Amino acid sequence: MCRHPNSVEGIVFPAGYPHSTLAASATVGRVVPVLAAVLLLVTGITSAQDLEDLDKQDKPGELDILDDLNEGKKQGDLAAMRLSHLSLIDTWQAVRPERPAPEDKQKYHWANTRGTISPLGDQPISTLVQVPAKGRYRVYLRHVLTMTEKRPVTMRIVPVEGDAESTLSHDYGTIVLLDGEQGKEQEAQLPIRVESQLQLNTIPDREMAAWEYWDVELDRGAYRVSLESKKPNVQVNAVFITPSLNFRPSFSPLGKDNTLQSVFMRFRPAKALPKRTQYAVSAGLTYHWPRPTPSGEPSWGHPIGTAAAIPGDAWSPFINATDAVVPGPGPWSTCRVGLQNVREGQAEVQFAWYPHDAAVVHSLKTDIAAGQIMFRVPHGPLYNRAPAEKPRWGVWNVEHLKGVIPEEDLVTNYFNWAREAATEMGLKEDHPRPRHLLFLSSCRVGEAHREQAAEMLARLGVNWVAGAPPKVIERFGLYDESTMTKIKIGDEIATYTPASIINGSPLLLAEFRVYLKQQAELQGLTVTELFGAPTLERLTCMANLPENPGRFERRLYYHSHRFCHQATIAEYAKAVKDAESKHKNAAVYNNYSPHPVFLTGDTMNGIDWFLLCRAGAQTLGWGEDWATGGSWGLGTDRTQCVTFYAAIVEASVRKKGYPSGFYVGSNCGYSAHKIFSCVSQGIDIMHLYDWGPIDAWAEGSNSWSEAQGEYKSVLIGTHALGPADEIIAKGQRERRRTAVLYNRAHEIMNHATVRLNHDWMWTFLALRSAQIPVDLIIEEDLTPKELGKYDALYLGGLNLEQRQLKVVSQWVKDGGLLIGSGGSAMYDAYNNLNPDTVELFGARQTVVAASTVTAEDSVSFAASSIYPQAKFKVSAPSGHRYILEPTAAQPLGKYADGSCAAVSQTVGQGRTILLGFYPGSAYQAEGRALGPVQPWVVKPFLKHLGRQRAEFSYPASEVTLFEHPSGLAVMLNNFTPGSVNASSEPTQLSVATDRKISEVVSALRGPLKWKRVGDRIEVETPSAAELVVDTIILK
Amino acid sequence: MIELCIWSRRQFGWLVAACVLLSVNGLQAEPPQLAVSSFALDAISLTPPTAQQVVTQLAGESWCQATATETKGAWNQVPSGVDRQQWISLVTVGFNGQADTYAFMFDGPEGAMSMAMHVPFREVWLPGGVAAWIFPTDSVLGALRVSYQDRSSQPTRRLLKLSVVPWEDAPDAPAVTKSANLDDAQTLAPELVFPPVAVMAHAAAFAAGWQPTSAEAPVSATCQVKVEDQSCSFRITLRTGAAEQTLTKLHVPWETYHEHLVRLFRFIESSHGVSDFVQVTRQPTELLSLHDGRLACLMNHELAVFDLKSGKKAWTTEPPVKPANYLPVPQYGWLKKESGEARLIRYRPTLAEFNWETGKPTPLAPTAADLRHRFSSGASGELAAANGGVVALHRQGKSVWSEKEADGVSAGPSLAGTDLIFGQATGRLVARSSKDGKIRWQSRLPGSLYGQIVPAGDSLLIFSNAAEALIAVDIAKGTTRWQCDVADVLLEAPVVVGNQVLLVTKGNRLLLVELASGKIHKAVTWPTWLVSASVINTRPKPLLACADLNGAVTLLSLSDLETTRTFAVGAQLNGPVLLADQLSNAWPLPQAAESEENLLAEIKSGPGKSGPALMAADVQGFIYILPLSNSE
Repeated sequence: MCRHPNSVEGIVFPAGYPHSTLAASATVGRVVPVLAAVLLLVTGITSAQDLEDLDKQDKPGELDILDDLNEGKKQGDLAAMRLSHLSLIDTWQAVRPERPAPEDKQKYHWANTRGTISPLGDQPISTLVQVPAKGRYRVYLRHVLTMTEKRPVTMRIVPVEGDAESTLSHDYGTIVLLDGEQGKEQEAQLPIRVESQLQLNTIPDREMAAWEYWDVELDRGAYRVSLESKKPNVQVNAVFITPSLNFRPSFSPLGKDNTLQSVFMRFRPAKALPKRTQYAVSAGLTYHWPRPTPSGEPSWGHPIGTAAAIPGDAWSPFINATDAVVPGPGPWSTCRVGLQNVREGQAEVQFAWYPHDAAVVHSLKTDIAAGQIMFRVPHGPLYNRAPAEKPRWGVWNVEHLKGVIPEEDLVTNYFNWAREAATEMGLKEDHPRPRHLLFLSSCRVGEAHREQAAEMLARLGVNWVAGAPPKVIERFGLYDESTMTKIKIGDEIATYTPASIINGSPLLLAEFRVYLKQQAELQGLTVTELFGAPTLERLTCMANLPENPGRFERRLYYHSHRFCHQATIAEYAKAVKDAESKHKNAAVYNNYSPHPVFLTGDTMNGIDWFLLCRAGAQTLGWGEDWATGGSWGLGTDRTQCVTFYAAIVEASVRKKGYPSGFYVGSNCGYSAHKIFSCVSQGIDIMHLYDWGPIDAWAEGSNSWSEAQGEYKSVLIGTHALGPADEIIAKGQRERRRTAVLYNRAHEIMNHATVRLNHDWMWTFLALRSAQIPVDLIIEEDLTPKELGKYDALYLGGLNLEQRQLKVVSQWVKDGGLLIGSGGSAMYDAYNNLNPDTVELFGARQTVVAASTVTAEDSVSFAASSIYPQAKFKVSAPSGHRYILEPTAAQPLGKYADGSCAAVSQTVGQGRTILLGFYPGSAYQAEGRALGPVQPWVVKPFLKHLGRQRAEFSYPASEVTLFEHPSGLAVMLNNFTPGSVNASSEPTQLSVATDRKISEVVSALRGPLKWKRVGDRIEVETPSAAELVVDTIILK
Repeated sequence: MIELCIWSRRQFGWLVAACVLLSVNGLQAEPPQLAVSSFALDAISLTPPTAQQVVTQLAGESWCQATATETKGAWNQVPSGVDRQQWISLVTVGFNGQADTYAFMFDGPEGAMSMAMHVPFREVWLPGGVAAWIFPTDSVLGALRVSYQDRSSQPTRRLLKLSVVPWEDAPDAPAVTKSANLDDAQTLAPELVFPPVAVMAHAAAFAAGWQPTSAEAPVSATCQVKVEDQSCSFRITLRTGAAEQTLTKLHVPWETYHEHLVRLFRFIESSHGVSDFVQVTRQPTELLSLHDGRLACLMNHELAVFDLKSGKKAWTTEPPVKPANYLPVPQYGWLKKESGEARLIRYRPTLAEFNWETGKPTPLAPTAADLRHRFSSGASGELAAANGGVVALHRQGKSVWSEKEADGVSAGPSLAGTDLIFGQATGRLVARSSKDGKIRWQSRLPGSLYGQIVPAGDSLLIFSNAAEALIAVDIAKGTTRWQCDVADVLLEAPVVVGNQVLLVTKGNRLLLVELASGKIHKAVTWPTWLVSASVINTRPKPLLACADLNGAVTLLSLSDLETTRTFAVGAQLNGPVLLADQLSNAWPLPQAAESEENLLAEIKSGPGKSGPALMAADVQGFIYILPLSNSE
């Protein structure tokens, strides 16, 4: 999970700093700009150094706010601008938007063209205004004045209720700009205000937008303000109404002169500091969505500003936050403010549209903890952007300001959601929570709320709360991190070292040649026989196959690719060694992402999930899911793909017996299902990725704190395991007698021919949904010893090394069930036809011409001792499938054209079944666990394996049995498709055991009805409609 | 719990070289004791590591134990008190954009050089467009280990008494401009250039198979060096008894000293059969065709045509100024006209033929064809092309007909008689009428038909990759006449030689197959990978020229595949070997204009003899001249 390491290369970030930016940009070529961005951000976010530096300043930072333009009347009547109103004319009724919707048939009178509004005819446009108090107001119209042409436009102010005769009317635009006069002179002679110092001191353009005013008495009340003109070249865009004569309205593109489109903040301690105590503030924003920058590097934060040497009883100066807030990405971001000399208490924050008391629109109070405050800020311009449905007043849209939320309000929500979840579940406070299975989440909330947040997480069942106060750890018996130093050395790494690197390194090239020699020896061949060259010194590592590769080229390429991964081991091994030398109990890991294999990519050719753990070059297996209910879940129901991902991690650590962990993507939903997927595949550490709150993150998608449903989902997941914690964590997972091969040779040699890893996953999940315990294995496991642990093997992929095929053949002869899919092992690892495969399966395979493939291709099976009667669509990936020509095997199924689609034969004491297509793909396409393919897929496995120790009546679920001296536990994980209305009828669980059972309980629901029938315990379990996850405990 | 992120990266890239060393040849029981000295002789802004820094780095490795040895002596002078069997002289040289680090040992006979590890490197572009020199410590130390441990397996070398001296003009020396022009103006003082070049010359001699020494030896060589502006000229004289051979190379650019010196020291001996070489680029170069005194080749993924009389580039498809988003056209090739003349063809984005004189392209077909075998031309100006599943016939650049096939074309098309023949990966072989595209016949062969379809009398020869067999079919009906299994795919298209067919497989086999029966008449197994096999029209009989992985070019009789001559180029050859009927032994010396950037290096090899010669190219952009006159 590239976006979230705690620290990088020794840089210690302040709390809440968007670390993810750096980690996500770990590509060598991107480090420099990212570091630059980091430095930029750090300057804008509180640090002790910032504040110390600020102390050295002589006076508080001051803002240039057109004092010079106000001709020394710095204060003047500015207090009166409290009663000001800004109305953007593009929001008025009958103004055509700049980009009207295609279906928009409304009749418009004026039109918005790039921000200026002009008449389409002589009809008026209008808006509603609520004047708050009787008085004399200056009504400004911002419009384009010229030196040559008068462009009259009439404004009418009509009371909404009352006498129409009291209508006020004024003609703007009956003046022309004075030729050759500076702005100052224009203002002296015309009823206008220009917008900038530059305009004041220079001769205007021949056409220029300016604020023409009309001073008028208005009573308190609602008015309709309208504009009309017969001149189509009239260009208006805003009306500003204020009692202040000194205030200068401005939309100047020069930021310092712009008075109406800015956002200011100021701060002070709620309680005055002791006399002569000064304080300083430093504020910055943390974005939660990437903000594009000209350099191309996304920005994850923005400094707001700093102020120092502020008297302890005074407000800080107004700090201009416009550049940070208004163009901020996404709907909101988090503002963090450091306060020097103010460690605790409360702070007040004010928001103003102009740096003046009278322009303050919004205030909040928030708790200070460790000199920090935090609050959420909405993004975008704060003035009204929508038409006035009813009369309104003011410069800003106060509704928008409701998005300003202090941290305590944010976390209160979270705490409430957690409490509501517990209440809804009816769980008691003393409900057993996991102690041995580790559930990790961070607790990045501000210090003031950390204890409460840690407690909340603990109550949710999170027993490893990073950042939890010690007393919470003690009170809840949380994992104290004493037995393991978890060290992350890489995130979403690649393991492929390019061939060019190997060829450019004399050492790696020498190692490569040694490797080639070993490969020849492994096959009992000489170098010349295998590679066609008398010596290896002229052979270099091949990056790609040529278009028409020969045998020797294919051999060299295959081993080149393998070595390109092998070559990577050494560096990671060194990192592990370094870590172990520095940290006792170091558990060193890289995190593997599914993106390059299953989402954005399609093979492990760039990143081999299995490699480093199996080579001892990392000592903790780790993966993540990023699985949502949509395409990021690979189309699996309720993110069942996580089971498969977890199985890959487990397969990577199995050889060395290392522990394993997983970033459970709680941020993507389905926490309970994912937790169960991981635990059922033997994962030890579930990092519930990750509790923020979200405002602690630079990227919103990393955090589940805003996802109310996940509080309940986490609670269910952990509490459904809590009562069985010891059985599961300390007991034995039921032996997996079935294995699914993850065929790397296929990916290396034939990934372009047909992509099969999704078929392997779907087949794996089909078996899991039939309560069949399954392991994922790789070719390295195809040894007599390892393969001997299994009774059934699903072998997909067009390639298999001949030596491994021999092992598989012998294993079948010894009694194994081998099920192959289309093209299974028909080639050796070098894409040479493998005659042994024909003998093993008793059939030849011929690929079906792409031109004859249709989406409707189907396959049918007559009822037999091996398969039930079935007919379904082939649904092969890209239509890639094979016609079988039996040589010794018996046909089992046929395609619609009558050609053979499946065969089977006995081989020694075992059996082979060869399918010309891909059962996982058919399972996926035909309703998955609740579809017609499900029973067909699993029947031969079940026939061969016999009854499973744990059987569950509802197929769209995974069942995993654990056994411990204290009892048995069966995890139930319901993956009902979202489109299915699950039955409310109870389900049935059957568990084979000869142990004495006295009680059967549901971890979440308490005692269940049960009875013993022979050697099995039959349990009435919750209906599919009620079940999310649960653990049934047999004591 | 401490969670640390030591590093995080998506791309392993060049950093991977920083690996912990696993055993290459097995760990020795007693790690050798090394004494390391470091010499910085570069003329660039590079700071090579000191001896102590090298030793510190080596301390992290287990294969040796090293101490730093400071010395004021020369790079090839074993410091007093140091065992020459332990002394490693690490020397870094560099000019402009190229640096080379060498590690030498001098424990051969009479103190001769016994190891010359070489690691070249260049500036690294850092983010922000900044170039910087980063010493490749890991690569150098890795190479040192490999070289040190490989010393025992080195081939026997001949001792060479080598002297590197300043160039002394002699009456018979090639003319060098005396005036102060760009070539002679020296941007680096000779005192700065000469010492590192001397180091490179010794290392190059070692790389060329010699064992240089300062002591007396049966063979001696003098390498004269003339320092110029951003280049050097080299003249090497080899003396064996009374025999003397001289090889000269003028104006070798800064960055290519090592590559040129190695070849000079190798080809100073005429027994290799190479009379001259020229580096036209530093990228892989492939010769395409020789025609009318011009050599067409692919370099930098562009078509370039050289005038062999002047040695100058006549024209190229590479634009002088490349826009930021410029991508070269990926494929060029050549075809033989019916008259035997060569045609230069661009495959993509459209088929076009280039004028030999001017390089002007003339579109042949408004279609792409992405491989050589997917188009062919006929006797009457037709051009057949297959692009994916579309087969089309064009005449004078205009479409005559076009047909869409359900499956892509993988073999052919070929114009044979009045038909257009093509094959598919499914094994379907189809003949369509050239006139209107209607199917004349189709047949089913073993799958994965691939490559050119070669008409041979009343048969068509087509290859099946799946069956690894050449198949002859009746040209009128498509029925199979015979099938010849060859146990691998073809390296080159089948060539009809009289009543036989020559097949060259990627399985290192040369086969002569009887055209009438498909029986193998003669088979030769090549000892290593063949890079190319080209039939060359030598007189009186054509020969087969094979280039192989070992860098040998071998001529064979086409009638019995017996070897007639071998040239030991020794480089990693690339592409076909071409025959020039009349070619100077030396690449001509261009008259460089001051305004013209002369990127070519030239060589003068004795008086400019000429005669039939072969030309070959390698992956470093060198083109070699291999005169045939000695054997003709």
